[in-house]
Amino acid sequence: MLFFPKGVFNGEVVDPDRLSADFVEGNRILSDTTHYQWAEDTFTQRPKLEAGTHVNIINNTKHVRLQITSGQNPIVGRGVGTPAPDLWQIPLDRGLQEIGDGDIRAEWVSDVPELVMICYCIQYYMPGQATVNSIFGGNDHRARFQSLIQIDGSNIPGTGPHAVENTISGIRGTGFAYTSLGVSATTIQFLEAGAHFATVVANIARTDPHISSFDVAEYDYKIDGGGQEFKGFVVASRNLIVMRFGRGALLGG
Amino acid sequence: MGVNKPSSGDTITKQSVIGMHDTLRTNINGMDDQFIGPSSFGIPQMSTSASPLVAFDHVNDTGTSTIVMNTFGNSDISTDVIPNWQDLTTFRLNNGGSGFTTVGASQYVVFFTCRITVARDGSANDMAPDPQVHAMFAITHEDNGGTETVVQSSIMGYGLYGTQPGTIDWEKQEIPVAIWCSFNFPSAKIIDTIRVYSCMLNGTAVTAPTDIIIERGTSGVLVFERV
Repeated sequence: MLFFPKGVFNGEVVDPDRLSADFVEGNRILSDTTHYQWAEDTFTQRPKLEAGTHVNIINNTKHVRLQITSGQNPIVGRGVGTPAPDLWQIPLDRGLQEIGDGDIRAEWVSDVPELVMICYCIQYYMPGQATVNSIFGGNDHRARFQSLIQIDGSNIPGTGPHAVENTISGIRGTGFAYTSLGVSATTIQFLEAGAHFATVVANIARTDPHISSFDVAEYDYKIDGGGQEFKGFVVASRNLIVMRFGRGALLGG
Repeated sequence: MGVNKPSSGDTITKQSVIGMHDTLRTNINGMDDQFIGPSSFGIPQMSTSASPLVAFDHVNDTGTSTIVMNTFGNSDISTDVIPNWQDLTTFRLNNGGSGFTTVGASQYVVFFTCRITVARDGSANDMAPDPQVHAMFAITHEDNGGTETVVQSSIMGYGLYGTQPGTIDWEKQEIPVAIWCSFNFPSAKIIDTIRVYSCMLNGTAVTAPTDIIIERGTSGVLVFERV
């Protein structure tokens, strides 16, 4: 809507209603401006924009060393050495649990709907196949690491090494089975205005004798109540980055 | 605030006109977001210089020439990275040589991905390393004063694959490396270069490779100001 004041013509009898229309119309347009009232390149200077209105970034980080050296394997609470205090021991066979007991969890409240990009990067380590063999017996077991991004309590499929078993013996391929990995994944989601949280969950999935399982379906849960036997399956350094792009009226906000 | 106007047939007084002027003046001079209608602003109103994303740079290595990483570090501690690890120059980020300049508080988001294809012995043959050998990676930033800083949380290790170390069994690695990290500065800053470093750490491995081969990869940075 553009503003065209009519004014009063020479010799015209002034009608109060018509005279006031110029003021009323100007005020009406002013009260609900559109791009017609705002010139091209209106916002040319970044300092004139309110800080944080376009992109809000949350970066929650925990730097935790494995303490690996050229002559020493990672110190993870199993065997020699004192592990770093913030090393997070992954519960085995307990399902997806929040890593670091929530120490990189991001929480925020937004007044507008947002396009949110969430990525994480975590260091996983387990003390080798020989250790897995000694825990489970035999040499056919694999400790399968799984992780996912969780938003508002929902695990986001595809955001880490994780798959649902599709057969009773289909454990292969449901997690990462080697010694260590820097695990990273990203997701982009639309979130409505309001309170939200994002975090990373992880699990050491149950194992099976993966070779014999081709022929014989076999579950093998192993519950470690004291948490001693399974020590050494850990998440060390961990990052969670949340980039929030406000979307204004896009979702009706 | 609405305009109080005289009705048709009323006598126009000086005060009624002043009142309408005052209302309009007050509203114009006190505009806030309540005066802005839905979907008001588009690309024409938002100058590119006003974007909080002030810089973006990236490098894609297509794999036409492999990178041989043959450096052994001492430790995964951050102070070991710059003096003893290998600078993967292919993945340097410097905004075409201009660096990254921010005039206020800023936040950087950096990502790096690559693929470790194989580990090799001294004769350049593919080999299965001891899985206790870790390929390590880290990201650093260097400001225009020459101060280079390691992003500690970017230090990530990838255990090499090998069930029968020293043999050709399981010699293909195909390890995906993916690191995201973020850091910030509270005030104006010029960052000249962002680097990716790598090394191998042996742990107690009996059999270590001579080098690992890195093929394909991407590094990139998003620089946000006043976030």
